Amino acid sequence: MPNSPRNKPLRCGSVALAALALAIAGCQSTGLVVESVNNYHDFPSGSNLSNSIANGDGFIRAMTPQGSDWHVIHRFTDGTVWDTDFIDGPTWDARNFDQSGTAISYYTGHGFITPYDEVPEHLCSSSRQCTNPPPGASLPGVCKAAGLPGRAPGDVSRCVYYSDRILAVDGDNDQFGHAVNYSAGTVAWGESSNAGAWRNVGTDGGTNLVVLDASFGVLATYWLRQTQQAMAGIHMLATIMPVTGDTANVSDRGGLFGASWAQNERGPVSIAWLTTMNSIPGSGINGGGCNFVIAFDNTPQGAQGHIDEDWIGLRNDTRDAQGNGFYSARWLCNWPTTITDASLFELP
Amino acid sequence: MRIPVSALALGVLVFLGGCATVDLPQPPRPGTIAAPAGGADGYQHGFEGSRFVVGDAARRSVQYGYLKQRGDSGTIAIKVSNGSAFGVPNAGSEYASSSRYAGSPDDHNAQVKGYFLTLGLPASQVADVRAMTLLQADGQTGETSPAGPRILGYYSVVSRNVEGVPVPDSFAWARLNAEGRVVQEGIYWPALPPAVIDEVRAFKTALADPERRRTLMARVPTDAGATALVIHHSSSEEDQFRAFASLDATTRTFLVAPRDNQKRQSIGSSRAGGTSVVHHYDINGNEQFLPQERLDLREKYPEAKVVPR
Repeated sequence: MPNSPRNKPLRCGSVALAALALAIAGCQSTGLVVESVNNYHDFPSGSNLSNSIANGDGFIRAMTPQGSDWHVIHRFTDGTVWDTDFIDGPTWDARNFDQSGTAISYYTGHGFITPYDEVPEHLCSSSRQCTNPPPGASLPGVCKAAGLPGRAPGDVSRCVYYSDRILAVDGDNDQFGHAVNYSAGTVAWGESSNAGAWRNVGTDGGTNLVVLDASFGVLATYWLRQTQQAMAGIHMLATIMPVTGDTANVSDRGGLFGASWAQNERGPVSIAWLTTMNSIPGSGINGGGCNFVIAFDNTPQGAQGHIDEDWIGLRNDTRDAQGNGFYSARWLCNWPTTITDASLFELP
Repeated sequence: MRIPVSALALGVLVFLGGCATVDLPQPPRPGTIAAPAGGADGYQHGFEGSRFVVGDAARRSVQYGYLKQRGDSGTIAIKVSNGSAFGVPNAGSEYASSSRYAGSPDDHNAQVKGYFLTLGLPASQVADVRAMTLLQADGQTGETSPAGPRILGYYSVVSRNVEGVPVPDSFAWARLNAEGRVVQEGIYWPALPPAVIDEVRAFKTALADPERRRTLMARVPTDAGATALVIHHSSSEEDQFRAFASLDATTRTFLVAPRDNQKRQSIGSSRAGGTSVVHHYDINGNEQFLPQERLDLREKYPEAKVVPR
């Protein structure tokens, strides 16, 4: 008789006690930082996007209905999105993208294309053939699996190489050439008194989830190396991993993601991000690709705990990652496969 | 230990909120939504008939614009304003985390399609069923190469076609576990008004006429890589419903990292990509926008930013 009147006082009391316990704990972050870029005036004609601001605002709207505990700390768009907002520093990310009290930091805009495949292209059947990285990229090279049964559709297998991943902004006070390299160590997100100072960047950050809704958020094979250096205490990083296409600049990915919280705050945050793909026309990727989430911590259990975290746990700063020695990663890829080894993304 | 006054107030508010009784709206009637004559029927997903596992202690509530049925394992939430429905498992729900679907992706597609058709999804509108693969990998960062992924499950996404034209904003998708239980689902399949079907027919007539087709194509972006006649409607998160027939034109753009500008042409000629934007045009070549594409909260959240000293 779960809904009988006798049970109501108990349920109400439980709710109140839980709320009180959370308030006393005082380690809850409920802030949102959203940075969205449509206009890229400093770049060649035709570089502008159309849907980033609507996308970021859709996320805000979905997360802040009447009665919501979430609140907006910063909403920056176009020229007020500075590259320094993301880069570690007490007056840079600590006052912007990674400000203390933030639970979710959401960027939507361009990511740079960086050297990746050989020019001219080098089609391949084995990663042993991929030994000649283009300028700006580095080994290891792999034969990216594509166009084969169970692999990403829309291209053929080709040699690709490692390069850092870089967001592209067009701020009116940029100091790093409009570029935010989050693979090389200048970015550190989530450092806080709860996370500790293991990343050696102080404790003046604090966001718990970083969303990079951009081109080539991470790339197949290289996703671990491309994200590990950005970790300083965040619970998760969510982005997109195109394999044969690229991210589509859509207006509703942010809204769909936020709406999943409104639908069930006990639902897993990682799955909420991944399954936006199912509700976006064309999956939100213009070719084969995956929505991607990765969590790090100093134990396997810690990393697994983050990747399973619900929206209530996401707010909890006492769960901040204590290291980046272990990871759990999840993908939802827009093609069917039964392949369960690394050959899903790269040919041996 | 000192307890902040604000914390006590929060606790009291939550306590009162948890005890308040409200008149719950009736859930929408599940099944086929009959469209007005000349329109296209829709489908309403509901609490009844859904095989989504809510679990024990199920109860109904209204929260954040959704009518919800929650239980120990998950929640079905139906958006009051537009009827979109989502079944979202709780984190750690045994139904979602254990017993992954044992069949093939094609089997999963067939079962999900059958599930929705049985409930009243118009069979004539089903265009395609596409399986997505959920994967996970765990490991230690010092290892020479990342762990290989393992499959956690599949999602099957049913896409919609009306009058031979895609309706890409509609969806019906679900994930099944080994027992065939639905562990997650999302459905938005609204009825379409007759005016939209009329627009589709007018578009088809115009595109079949070489002169009118040329005139129309001249209005879309010159760099459009692909065009397609589709029916669009508001997203599942929009309260305001709008639907129209559209000639969609997809453009691509990309930015090359500054140090590699000289390689722009080379990189662009490969199939490495570029972000895509889909633009919508009416029969006169005027660009159209969906409500979610017009959203701008600048007045609610004015931006202020100063250069740090």
